[in-house]
Amino acid sequence: MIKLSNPLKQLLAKLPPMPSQPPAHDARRGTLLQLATLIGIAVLFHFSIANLLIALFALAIFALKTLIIFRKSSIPPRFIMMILTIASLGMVIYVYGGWNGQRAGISFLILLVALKFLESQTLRDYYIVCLLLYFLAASSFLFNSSIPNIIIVVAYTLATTSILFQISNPTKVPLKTTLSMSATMVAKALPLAIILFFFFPRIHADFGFLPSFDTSGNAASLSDSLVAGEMASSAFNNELAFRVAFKGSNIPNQSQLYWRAKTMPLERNFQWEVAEPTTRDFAVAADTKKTANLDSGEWRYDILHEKSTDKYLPYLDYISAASKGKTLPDYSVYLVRPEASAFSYEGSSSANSAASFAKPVDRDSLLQLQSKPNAKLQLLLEQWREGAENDAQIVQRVYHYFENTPFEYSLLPPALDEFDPLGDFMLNIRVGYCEHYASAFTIIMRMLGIPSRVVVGYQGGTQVNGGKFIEVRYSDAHAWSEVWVNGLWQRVDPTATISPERINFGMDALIELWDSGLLGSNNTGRALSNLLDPKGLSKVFRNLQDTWKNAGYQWNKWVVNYDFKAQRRLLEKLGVDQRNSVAALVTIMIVGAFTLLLFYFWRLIPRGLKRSDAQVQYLRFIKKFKRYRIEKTNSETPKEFATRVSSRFPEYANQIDSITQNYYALRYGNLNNESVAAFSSFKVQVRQFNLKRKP
Amino acid sequence: MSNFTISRRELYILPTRVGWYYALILSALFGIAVKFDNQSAFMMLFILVAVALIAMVYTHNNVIGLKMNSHPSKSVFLGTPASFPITLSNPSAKPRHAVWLIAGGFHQLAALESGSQQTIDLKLPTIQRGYLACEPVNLSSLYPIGVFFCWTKRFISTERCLVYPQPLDLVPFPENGSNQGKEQAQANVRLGAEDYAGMKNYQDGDRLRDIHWPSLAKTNKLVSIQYENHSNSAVNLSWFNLPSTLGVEDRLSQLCYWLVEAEKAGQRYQLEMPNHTIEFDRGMTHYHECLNVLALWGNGPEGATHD
Repeated sequence: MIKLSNPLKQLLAKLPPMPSQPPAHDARRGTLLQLATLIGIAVLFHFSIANLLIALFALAIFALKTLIIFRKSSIPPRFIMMILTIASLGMVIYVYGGWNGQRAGISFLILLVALKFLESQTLRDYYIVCLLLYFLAASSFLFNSSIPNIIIVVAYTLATTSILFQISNPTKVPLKTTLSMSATMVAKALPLAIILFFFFPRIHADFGFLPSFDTSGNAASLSDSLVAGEMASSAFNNELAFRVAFKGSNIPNQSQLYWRAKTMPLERNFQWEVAEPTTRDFAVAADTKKTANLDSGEWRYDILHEKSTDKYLPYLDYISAASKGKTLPDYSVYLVRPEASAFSYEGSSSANSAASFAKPVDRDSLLQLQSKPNAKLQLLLEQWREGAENDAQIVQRVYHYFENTPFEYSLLPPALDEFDPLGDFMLNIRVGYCEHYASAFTIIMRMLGIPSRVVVGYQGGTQVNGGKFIEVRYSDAHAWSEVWVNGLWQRVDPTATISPERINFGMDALIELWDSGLLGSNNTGRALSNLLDPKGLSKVFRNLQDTWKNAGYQWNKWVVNYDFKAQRRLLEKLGVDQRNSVAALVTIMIVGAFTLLLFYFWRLIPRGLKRSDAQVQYLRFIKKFKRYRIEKTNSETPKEFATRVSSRFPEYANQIDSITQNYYALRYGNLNNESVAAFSSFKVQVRQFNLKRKP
Repeated sequence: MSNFTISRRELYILPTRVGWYYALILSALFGIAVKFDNQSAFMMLFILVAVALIAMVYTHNNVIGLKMNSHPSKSVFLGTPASFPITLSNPSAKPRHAVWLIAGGFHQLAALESGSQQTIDLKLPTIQRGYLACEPVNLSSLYPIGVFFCWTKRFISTERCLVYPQPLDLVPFPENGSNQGKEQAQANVRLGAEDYAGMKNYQDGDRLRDIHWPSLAKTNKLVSIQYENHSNSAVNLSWFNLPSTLGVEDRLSQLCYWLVEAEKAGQRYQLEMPNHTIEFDRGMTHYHECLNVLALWGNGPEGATHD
């Protein structure tokens, strides 16, 4: 035992007693005002994220502290701090109904920062405020991971670091120097951070004590029910839903881009709802999974989905195989637990309704209706049914009816009659958005005895790089109809006949037409051709947009969606066997980080002056003559060169002479303690030497 | 004079309390990143980790390579802080920011440009007379962001400071008695010339040689020559003149006070200690010799020889 403890003792004995920490100095007012500005910006950003009441409260506390700093008065007494703390806790509970949820978390955090800032007096308090600011900046990523946001956050980190620089240094350093020092430090930290980021093994764990994801909140999703008029309001929601990258050369055209998310088989008086999957559905899904093959489809693609609370994942119709979620018998893909952040998956689909799509259907449930046809509609129904040879012909007749009747497509459809919305829409108003047409068409199909359902998803998307990437936004949300004909589910999109430009050119084009008031008028065609003209002015702008979108795609692929699987793929590229991936990752991470850190240690260690340092400066000095086609020949000594250039630039002769002399002293003279200072001034002298006149 | 260069082996680095808070914040951030599987939060986490690691390199490099030189220290009276001048020099081409010199728990700040040097007076409190050795000197730095604390091995300076007793006026100066006799007895021993200050009527106690004989011939009055600052007066500062109720330290303080006053007044004085007397004289050498004896009385090696 004694022998064992000896090395430990030796180790402890090696560490000399730690001297006491330097005395705390007062934080400078200028630094505090900078800190106040940063906190003010954070509070203002908070307005966009969370509750107005909390943001106003934080702003009030912040204003109070700023006043205190300006007037150099003392901080409020302890009992007022207690009251403020209790009030802010109460407010968080009142607004969010508890602790849980990341909004409650971030609101709590912003109040914490503001309160801590208010009561801060000593240096250590301000240190803690800065650390909390780091945390606050990082937690903003829970809401937004876009490139602009990370630029803001990195700038914020930089500013916070420069404040740490200032409060830990008792002597005042000019702000510019501090900023450049902290920028250098953060710049040096970035390569190290990148190594850690790519090779730190990603694990899955749930820390129950941390605030959990909001169940309802800002994360966008498609609604689980289809109510006439609701989807149209999302037409102007430009938020990104997901990005697609197609693999290989096989790319579907715009009118084939039907992104299927959820099917709605339940009808409630012109409204449709999703049916929750049953255990039998899951059993079928498990069977499907066994036979699914990602190579079987015509198109293969990766989808990078933005954060969403939706349980149904969009895939291109008609699906062959899916890498994520359970493929239900109705061919929607179900995720039991929604992802907490952006995620990615692969899919494989074909243009035509595949044979595997033929599954026996429960006819009865797919014919159930709440809506009743009124007398006029009954007459129409009988007309369509009369003399039809098969279901396919009936579908054709109804489709033609939609085609030949003056229906109008509108992003702002009028409200329908409450008691007979179907009759009102079909016979009176005849103006609607895609959901009206899908809904009406499906109900009519069921009335005619054809099993059918509404499918909700997205149609189209913005093509980038000639269709290789597609960005799908919530404004691309779409609803269509699916009918069971000839033992197959067939897609029928009545909107395609009402507004062909919606399907063929996508929502972007449609909205531009809508904005210019040309939608539905006789000029639609010409306006569209103007819009899509490749030589038009908007083309340049479009290219710029493409570049930006591509950057966004790469960013999302490599950072936002860099998960466990992406990490595996990277390892595979580096030629590491998958089985020991964690060990490989840890090894690469540690070796990489240590190598870089050692490099920094070696590179940044302060050294004395070397004679070659003077030479570097002298070469810089010679380079300044290059503009005037004067170069130093190898055979020329610096003194000869000085004489030569002095004759060309007589007004600079003194400076040239002085530089040359200093160079001789530093390069060939004795180096001593003063040389370092002499070198610094030599450097400045060379930098400030500028030839202005043309000889 | 001794010197000390800080090399890799003389240097230690540990996180500060703020550094541990920083680690705490990072672990919370790690929890958030894992829980929400948020890759941007991971990115931020690793940027902060990397900033801390780079800060460690910076802190280390802020101290390494510095040189310390100690210089002799000036004697002081008890109660005034002793100062130990230390020259800190930066032979490297990189500036050093916010370097702290620590001795005996007292901190002095230094900042050095590249290739520059700075002399810092380390102040130490004096609590007893005699020699005060310089406390071991540490160098430390929190630069750049205060999450790491770097300190050096102790630099033990060989310099020491002699602390004189604190001058205290406790009892009145004895005007008569044995003191006067001594003074008279020693009066003619003095050497050298004094500055002429003026004439005055003869008083008892004025020396014979100071009487201006030509004036007596003219005015029939005894006039003596006045020398500046009573320079012709001399005092005997004797251990034995002090009341026996005073303790040793108080006696020394009192003698020290008289000594200082006598030197200020330009008087000649002698210091009479048991078994050791420093004869009448004036001037800085004499002054410091006397103070030396007082400072080391009874405990110093010099004092011990006279016991």
